[in-house]
Amino acid sequence: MEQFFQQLVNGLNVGSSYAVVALGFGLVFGVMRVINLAHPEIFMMGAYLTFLLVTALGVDSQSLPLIAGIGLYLGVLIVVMGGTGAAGLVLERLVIRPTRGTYILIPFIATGGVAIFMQNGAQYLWGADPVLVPAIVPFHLLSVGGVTFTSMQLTTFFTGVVIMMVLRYYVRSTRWGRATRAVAERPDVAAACGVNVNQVSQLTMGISAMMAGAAGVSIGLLYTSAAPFMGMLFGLKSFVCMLVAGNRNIEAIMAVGLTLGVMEALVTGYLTSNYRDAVAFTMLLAVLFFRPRGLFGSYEV
Amino acid sequence: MLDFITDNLSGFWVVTLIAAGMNSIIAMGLYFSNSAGALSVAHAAIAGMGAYMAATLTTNFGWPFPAALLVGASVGFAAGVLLALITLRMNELVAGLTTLAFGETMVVISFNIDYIGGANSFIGIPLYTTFGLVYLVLAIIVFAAWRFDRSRLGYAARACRDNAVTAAAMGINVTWVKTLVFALGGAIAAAGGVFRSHYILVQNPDDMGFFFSLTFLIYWVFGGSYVFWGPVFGAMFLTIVPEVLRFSVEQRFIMYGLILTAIVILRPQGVITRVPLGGQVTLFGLVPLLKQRLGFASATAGGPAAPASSPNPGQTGPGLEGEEEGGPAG
Amino acid sequence: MLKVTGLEVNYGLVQAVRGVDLEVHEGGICAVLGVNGAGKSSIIKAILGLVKARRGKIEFPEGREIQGLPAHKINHAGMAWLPQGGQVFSTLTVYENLLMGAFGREKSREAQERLEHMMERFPILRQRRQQLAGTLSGGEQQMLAFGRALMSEPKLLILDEPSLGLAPKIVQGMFELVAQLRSEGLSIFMTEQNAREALKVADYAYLLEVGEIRASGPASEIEASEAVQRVYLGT
Repeated sequence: MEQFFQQLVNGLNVGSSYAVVALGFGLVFGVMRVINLAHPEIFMMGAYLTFLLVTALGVDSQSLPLIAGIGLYLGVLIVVMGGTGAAGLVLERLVIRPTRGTYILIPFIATGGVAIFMQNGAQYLWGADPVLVPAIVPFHLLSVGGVTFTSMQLTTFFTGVVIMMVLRYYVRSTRWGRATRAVAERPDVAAACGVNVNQVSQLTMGISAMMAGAAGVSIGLLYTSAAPFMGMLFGLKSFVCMLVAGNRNIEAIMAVGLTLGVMEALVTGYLTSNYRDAVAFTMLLAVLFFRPRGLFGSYEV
Repeated sequence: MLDFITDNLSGFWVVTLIAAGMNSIIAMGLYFSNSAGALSVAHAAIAGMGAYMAATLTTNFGWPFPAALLVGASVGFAAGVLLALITLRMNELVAGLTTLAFGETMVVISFNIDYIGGANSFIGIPLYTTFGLVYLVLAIIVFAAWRFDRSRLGYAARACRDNAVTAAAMGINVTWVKTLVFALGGAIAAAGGVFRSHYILVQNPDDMGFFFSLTFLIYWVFGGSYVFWGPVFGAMFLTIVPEVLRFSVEQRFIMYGLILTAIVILRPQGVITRVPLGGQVTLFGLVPLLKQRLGFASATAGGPAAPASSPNPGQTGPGLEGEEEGGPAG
Repeated sequence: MLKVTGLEVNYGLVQAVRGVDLEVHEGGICAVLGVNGAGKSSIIKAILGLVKARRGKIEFPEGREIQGLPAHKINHAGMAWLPQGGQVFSTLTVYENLLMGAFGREKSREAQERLEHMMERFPILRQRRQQLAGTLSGGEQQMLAFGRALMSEPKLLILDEPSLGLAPKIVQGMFELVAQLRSEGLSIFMTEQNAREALKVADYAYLLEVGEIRASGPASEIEASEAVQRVYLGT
């Protein structure tokens, strides 16, 4: 039974990052009807930026008091989010805006080209092998009823949850969140109400990229590594979460992301890690077969 | 004669052209499969499935190549039938993503079947693929595609793609057409896979993944998804160009990514297009433009090929306004 | 108030609007009548900035050329739209829909007053303010769309087939509302298939057929004209 809870905890961690990346995908898809294939690469960029920053800082995490470590972590997080957010804005302006509204494959391929560019760029700059991302948050173990968490795991999880809550608040209760929902549903009518749709697209893309970056920080620190092709599989699974959840509401995507993380952990723990990567796709096939509109919602293409 | 060709081209070109030819075969498979409106991100996987089947037969059981090729193609056909039936009721996007999931599942499954090598790949495949064989089969397939375009099945498929409801109302059995067409494409893709595995003599689970399926999709869209030789052009161009750009491995792909993005933004309708109304094939609008300048102008000069799923008919890709302006007035 | 000259709108190779001239006078109701496919929606989309006209000049409110401007700027210039069928934001609440009408100025006192005013005018909206707009009936959605359009205090209100899909009694009430809005000083531009009702309330009317204006004049004249009688009023 302890084993179960332990796996649960492990799973929730990665799951929160799956959810964050999935929400980023979902935002852009919902508002701009575009599948941003470069989104996982922005996640990868987040991990690499973390690597660069932390290595440059040259801190020995164990020598820091916990608060300082967490503070430093937040600083890195903000800087990296700023960086990836900017990258997202550039991507929107140069690649997505000119191809938006055409056949759905066009922005897909255009962002795919960007993804290829970024993956190989990373490989060129830092090599094909994973680089070491040193720790920032000092390592502490917490034990609750036989289940152990590390300080990094907790930080990751809470970061993910906070980001998702902030997004939820933004979408539900702010003027721009409202405008975003309106544009996602009826861009023409929203425009005629005075909403600058291009601005909303930029904003949405920026937010989506920041979220991907944040997930990159989390995963980079959690697994202490960054690699040029790390985005591919992770991104694909997050995308699956978005599909399974149905892209109608934020809570659904959150739930599915966390569930995927947990299921993967359980499969790894109780069966074999070989099948871990198949969990996401099996889930997708099963859900799409019985409910082609996703578990909780639907898509309008 | 073929020996003449292969003897006189440098080794580099022979290899590259064979690769281009094999990619073209798979791209043609995609052309058939997508002609009724599907969007398959699983063709690399289907190719791989055919490859594994044929490789097992030739390597482990000593079957002759043609027989193994046929069995491999049948596996592709069956996979196509399965996928088509699963995605029948889904909207285009969801169906596409299901094919993606299918492909990835196949990758994972292949990783875990030790009989076919699992993660260590299937090795020791005998070399059966030759330049002549590849291009012979490609020629047959292209010919078939040309006939297909003008056949009842081809028209039915395009009707299904453009508007499935209307097609059904016209008496077309949409289920049958979609399934058949997708399965045919699957068989062709699998044949391509068989060739490939019997050329590079190794078959990996990885080669069946999303990235490679996406690559074939790119050949299809880039080359021009509306005409039967569009995908061939796309496959040839996009296989040969990176090889020619051989500065270094990483830089090559960096450029490839940039070129791809740029071309798709600048010419989203594909390099080779066909105007749906007039049926004329255009290459950058040159043929009708020339015709007009030389005095053979016809009523519809080269114009935009409105992509089937474009939500806003008023918005065709950039660069098309120029083509329209170049046409006769009114 | 609004002046359109030589408007041409294309969708790909198809020309939907072929050289249309029309004018909406300040404080008046101008109706464009035509059957489905005549090009009415294309004219509206071009005026609103949602579609780029191939050719033509659009002046609003007085001589300022707005063709080619993005839709949100045209909205800021004082134009509001009631789309065909209302097209409320079904995933937003009634209250949020109204707020969208005043986008950018929601916090201002005028906007809050306007909100109150809307809810008085359409009491059902007050009742359903926290409900998702998609759960409202057709007539209620139309009312909400009206409210949303009026929230921006427009100079010109554009109505796209306002009677479409509504029960006759509601249609009557709606045209009464339109007449009332005119008496409050609003200029109104409307497209309609329901010629009879539209001509009763309009000051000036145009007849659109296959992208061209076939007839124009004061509403009473149009109503009496033989062409209209035959084609639209069935005598």
